[in-house]
Amino acid sequence: MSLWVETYRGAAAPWECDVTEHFTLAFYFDRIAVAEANFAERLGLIDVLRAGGFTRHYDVRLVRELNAGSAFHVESALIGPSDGDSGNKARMGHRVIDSESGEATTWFDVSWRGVSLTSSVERARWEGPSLEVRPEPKELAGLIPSMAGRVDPGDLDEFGRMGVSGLVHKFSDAAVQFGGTIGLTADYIASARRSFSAFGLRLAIIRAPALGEAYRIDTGLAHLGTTSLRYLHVMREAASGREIARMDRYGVQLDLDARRPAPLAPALRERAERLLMA
Amino acid sequence: MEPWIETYRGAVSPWETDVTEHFTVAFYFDRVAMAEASLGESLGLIDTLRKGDFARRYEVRYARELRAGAAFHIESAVIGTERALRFGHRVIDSVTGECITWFDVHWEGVAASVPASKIAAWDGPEFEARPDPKDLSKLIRTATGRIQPGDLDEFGRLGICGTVHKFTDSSVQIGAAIGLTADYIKTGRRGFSTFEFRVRISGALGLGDRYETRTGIAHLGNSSLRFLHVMSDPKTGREVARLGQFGVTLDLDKRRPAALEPELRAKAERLVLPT
Repeated sequence: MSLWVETYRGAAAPWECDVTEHFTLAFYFDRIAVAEANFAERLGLIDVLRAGGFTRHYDVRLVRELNAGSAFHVESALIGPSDGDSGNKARMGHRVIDSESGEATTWFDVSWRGVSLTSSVERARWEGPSLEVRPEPKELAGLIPSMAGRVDPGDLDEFGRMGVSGLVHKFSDAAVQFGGTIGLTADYIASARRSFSAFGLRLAIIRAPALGEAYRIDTGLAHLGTTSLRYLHVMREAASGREIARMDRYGVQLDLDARRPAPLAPALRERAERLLMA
Repeated sequence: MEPWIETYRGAVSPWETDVTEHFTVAFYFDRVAMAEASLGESLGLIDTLRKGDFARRYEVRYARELRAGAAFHIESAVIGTERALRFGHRVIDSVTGECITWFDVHWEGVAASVPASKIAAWDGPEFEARPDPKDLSKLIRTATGRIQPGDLDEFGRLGICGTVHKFTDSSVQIGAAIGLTADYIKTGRRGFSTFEFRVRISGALGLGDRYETRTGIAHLGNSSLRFLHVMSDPKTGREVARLGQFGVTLDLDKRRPAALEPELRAKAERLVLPT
């Protein structure tokens, strides 16, 4: 019997797609939140997830796009702790499957730090691509303001606090803001048929904010290649400046018609170079 | 007072349209949920609706499409009190005044004393009986998940709009199973367009509850298809909602029914439920 179990099945709605004309990142997390809770329930960890109070890491590899009207499902399995890990790090894999072709389109490697498993559940082998994580910039002085707001009812998850989908929506707003500062504006995207497309990301959630909490996000450019860009977003409490969550996002500038990476235009490159962090 | 009262007025947002390029069915139910609650309140039945310990049946005829930006309103009335309370909701194009969708709603087992002056004549379509197949063993799994905050209605349980969104996911899933995929819709310019709904809500799910939907094909015509979706609570196996969805494959440019291509038909035939 497969160690991977189905934890979500449904579809991508047109209103869940973005200016890059594909299923937007935050809605992947909307479904992963469902898959994660279903799988936690299966493992007897739903009350641990409900209580929160531990750091969650999501390493994500987006291999192939989903579009409006795509039918997909999510399969989940326990993939750790593995031999090299400490015992108190539950590690789960979620793979997003195109329901028509059976192909895995996106892989989520999720760790719950400080959480031990109470039941003995067989581990599945992780068959997904690994995210090649690069060191983060040491100096965060180069970050610029990219988002600020308060947690609204629509941001909450089933446990009554800001959910992972709500968080990622805010990071997407931050990416749009940051894109605008380098010239990747709505007008440019529509006329030049170029946009930013993520192929991988690392998300760390230190704690989940509550309804009405004020937050801000600052963003910087951690890498600039010919077609590739790496955005570093840090979400903090507005009042204290204490970190809430961080997203390290790897992507390329995409030709929206060819659906292939395309070099940044010189004017955009020039602006981006000014924002490159040390 | 006129039996028909206005219970909703608003518009279709662009993000409420689907791959068939019209107002998607779940958002009709978003507005009808409001209309139903407003009418219920005007009749002193809001606490009955809040309690919700009865089955509701919605028979719906989609006569004409609404598109992004369309202005519309809903008029509602009691249309019967025999056997069950029966309500009509007419979705009206606010520009032309034409009724474009009809909802005939039954609250099973609910009796109420309604003055004759408040009971309207039903000028909508009569819905012919469409018995569901008895053997549901060939249904395939088309949706699984958990009830999230956005799925809840004002009474704090899975609302009719959230329910229909899940059924729409199921419709996309079974569409893909017969080859009506996102790619095919985009390149072949064919979509699935619904003209009749038969929904029965027989149970309630709360925040964080799991659900599972299974689907089969109850009818396969030249261009017409009828999907049968059954949503249940996986913990108990108990059915919570059922939808008979009657529609056609639509030529997205001509906005006219189009015959299913042989390859799709062959796949669909394998999913037809035994009668």
